[in-house]
Amino acid sequence: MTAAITNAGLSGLFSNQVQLETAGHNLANATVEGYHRQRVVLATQDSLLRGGFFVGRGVDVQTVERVVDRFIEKQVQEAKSEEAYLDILQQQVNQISSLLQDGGDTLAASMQAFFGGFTQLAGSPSSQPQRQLILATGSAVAGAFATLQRRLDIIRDSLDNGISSAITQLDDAATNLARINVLIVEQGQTSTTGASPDLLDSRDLLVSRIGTLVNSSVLIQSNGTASVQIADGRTLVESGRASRVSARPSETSPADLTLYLDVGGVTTRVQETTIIRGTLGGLFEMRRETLDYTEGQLGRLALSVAAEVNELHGSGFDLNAQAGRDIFLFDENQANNAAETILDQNHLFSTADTYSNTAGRRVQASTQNDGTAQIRYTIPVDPAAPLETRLNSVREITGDAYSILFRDDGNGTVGAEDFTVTSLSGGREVALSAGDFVRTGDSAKLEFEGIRLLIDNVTRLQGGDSYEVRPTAGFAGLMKLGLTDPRDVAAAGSLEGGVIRPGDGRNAQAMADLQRAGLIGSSDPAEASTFIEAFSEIAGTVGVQAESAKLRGNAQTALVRQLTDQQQSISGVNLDEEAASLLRFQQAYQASAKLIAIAGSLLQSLLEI
Amino acid sequence: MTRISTNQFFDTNLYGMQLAGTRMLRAQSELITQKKLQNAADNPSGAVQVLRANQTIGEYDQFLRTITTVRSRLEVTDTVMGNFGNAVVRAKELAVQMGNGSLSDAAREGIAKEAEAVLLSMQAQANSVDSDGARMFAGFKTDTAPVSATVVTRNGVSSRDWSYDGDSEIRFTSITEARNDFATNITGDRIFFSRDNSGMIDDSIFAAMQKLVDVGNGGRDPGESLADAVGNILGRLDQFSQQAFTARADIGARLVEIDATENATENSKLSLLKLKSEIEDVDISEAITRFTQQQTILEAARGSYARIQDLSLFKFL
Repeated sequence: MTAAITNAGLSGLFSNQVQLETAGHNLANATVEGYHRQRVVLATQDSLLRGGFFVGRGVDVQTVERVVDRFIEKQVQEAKSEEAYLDILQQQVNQISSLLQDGGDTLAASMQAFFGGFTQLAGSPSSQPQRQLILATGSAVAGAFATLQRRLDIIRDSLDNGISSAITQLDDAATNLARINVLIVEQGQTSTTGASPDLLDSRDLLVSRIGTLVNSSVLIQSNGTASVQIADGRTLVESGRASRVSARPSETSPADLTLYLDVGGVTTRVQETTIIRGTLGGLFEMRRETLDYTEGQLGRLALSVAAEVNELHGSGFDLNAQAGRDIFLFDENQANNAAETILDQNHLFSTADTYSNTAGRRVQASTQNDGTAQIRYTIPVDPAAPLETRLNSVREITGDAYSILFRDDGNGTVGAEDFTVTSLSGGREVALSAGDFVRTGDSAKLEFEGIRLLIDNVTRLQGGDSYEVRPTAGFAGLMKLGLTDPRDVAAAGSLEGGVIRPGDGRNAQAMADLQRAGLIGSSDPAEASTFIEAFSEIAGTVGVQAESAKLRGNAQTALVRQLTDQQQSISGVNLDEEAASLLRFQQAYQASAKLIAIAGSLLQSLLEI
Repeated sequence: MTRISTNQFFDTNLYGMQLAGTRMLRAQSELITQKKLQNAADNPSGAVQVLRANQTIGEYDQFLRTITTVRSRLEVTDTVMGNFGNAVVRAKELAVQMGNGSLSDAAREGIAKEAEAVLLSMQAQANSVDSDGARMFAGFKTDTAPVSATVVTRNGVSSRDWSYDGDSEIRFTSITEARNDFATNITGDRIFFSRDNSGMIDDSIFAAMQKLVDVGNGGRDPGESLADAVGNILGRLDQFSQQAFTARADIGARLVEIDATENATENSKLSLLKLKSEIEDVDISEAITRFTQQQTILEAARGSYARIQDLSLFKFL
């Protein structure tokens, strides 16, 4: 009998000791990220049948488990993934938005000073100081464009760093999760109740971390291991195996780092458009929709300003009675790839198809292409056309980047219908008509939206080949002033007996009027935007993106707070509660100890008989 | 009863303090910069409006500067034309005196001397330069004196032929978005000279004046009576006086237009400045109220944090 009492006391001692340890564990881990409070599950020991009735034998510790609501946990995880995406998107888009605001003020002011300078020059066409002012303000315009592009380059660099670092974190998290999965299986084999709560916390924390980096779907297997699939549905972690992820130059746009996944020794690109949440989702979206957009549009504006100013200037005459030379040049030597040029000596754009881009960031064949055809592009301008219509193709360019897909309908002849041209921003498909494609022997031209693609070896195209073309990207950074002598400013509208007349400021006046002319976006002046309207469209678009990211971000942060609150309400440690537990189990422990003492004294009483 | 974890206490308090702090800082930054539009994301359409308003205001400033320059040029032209008009009046008086048949030759020579002086002053006015040193009445040939004379002998006396060396080009400028063909000059051929049917210059006020001088010096056309000569001169002087008067009225009309345009442009600029200010400028009393409000909230959050973090069962164990 006393043995039964001692046994009950001992079981109480043991269970209370576990309770105290668990309360201590909870206290110690109260602020640890990802910790779920733990509780001891007790069960009454089976009673013993003794002389026709059952007598209790004490208590058993069944297990120590986490207090967790899987449904809430999943919601928190998904909300955090969306929050991470919106946070980084907001932060990055804001950078460009403020850049366009500050740098935009400089650009707008310098353009105004430049064209205003021509108004003044028109009033005093021979004035040396007014001519000097044109050079100074023209240089400021080129500088403002170049500065904006430099800042975009810096943002692109830091974006690449961000992508690279997020992918490294993803790789670490995946590798660690696979390791944890192995431990979970090991522990499951040695314990009766599966892996330890703390190991499960580590597992969930890693799963959540992966979610904040990239959109993922998670399946918790019956053995407690986590299987994770990312973005396009490929497996990142499966029991003890993690697919390695890495940041590599994109095969279609090698200047940009993107996410590659290694499955069974084969490394393939994860389609960026499937990465829609987490830090990587935000970074990729910002690069695609904001940075590339801004760079393309700024490049278009720079090309357009230079083309319009140069062509009009060329129709006037300078103090040496020479036709005006180009005021703005694009210095390709400043570019990473000196071979990139669509410019010739005297005119910005060439009619000859020789001055076109062959390499570098602006035209890129996919490394997956089976064919080997070369593609170049130019913006066709005919110097013999009248001034009013000469630059129509420049006015029609959109500033978008395009993906060119050769589909090959298999009917033996290559025509416009074999190509799909898609704008990379927003995925708009460009309508092509049969006349847009002209084949001459083995070379061909494909024209759309002001751009002429030159395909050098049509027969080397293979179905499925794709190319990316960014016709205007980076031009803002190459702009510089082409004039050095104030005498070279062509203020006069015509020659009279081979000389200019010193009061003739008609061309200067025409130049000044350029700032109010619709020249961008359409060859119809009524539909086209002025330079400054085009710029404010860029700033407005990015501003709306920033506003939308901010509003969505704020809403998402509120949602995450609310869900985290619920999750913490279930799984968070309350110090007061644990303090109460300490008292309770201390007293219970003392009571159990007393029970053993009583059993001892009972036995003593018997022995004394 | 909802269970609250200790982390929630701290997180909620921290969040409350951060939120109030951020909002307070925002109000402060608006007050310091005097701008409520801190970033395009605050109000993208407003930011675009401000950008365009800045551009348009800049253009208006450019127009206003042009208007100032053009006005002073037109005013100088008007003054010169006024002086010229006075000279023509004097010339007519001299011609009338010259026609007096009872005058002696010496008296006529005296009148001729004064007529010569008036003629030279007319030439000087026609060859006036503006503040840039450009000839005002020479069209595009601003470096060329538009009216020149060649000495000849006519009817036995030393005389001069007068010619126009400028051109007929008008220098246009923009004074509003819609008016880019505002003429800023008037060419000498239209004021001082006349043309025949084929467009060739056939007469000028200078030639008429030259005839007055020549007549005074005894150089009348053969067979021409004094009365006929003076009648001819007076007729021509009247014609050119009319021409100069019309030109001056034209300048006056342009000055009226430019004043009206200046007023309209100033008004448009003012309304744009107002629009811009409404979009981007801070409402100071509102921002101060908001700042104080957030300050109060922050203080309350800090106070409640201090008390809550002090609550613990462990203090009683």
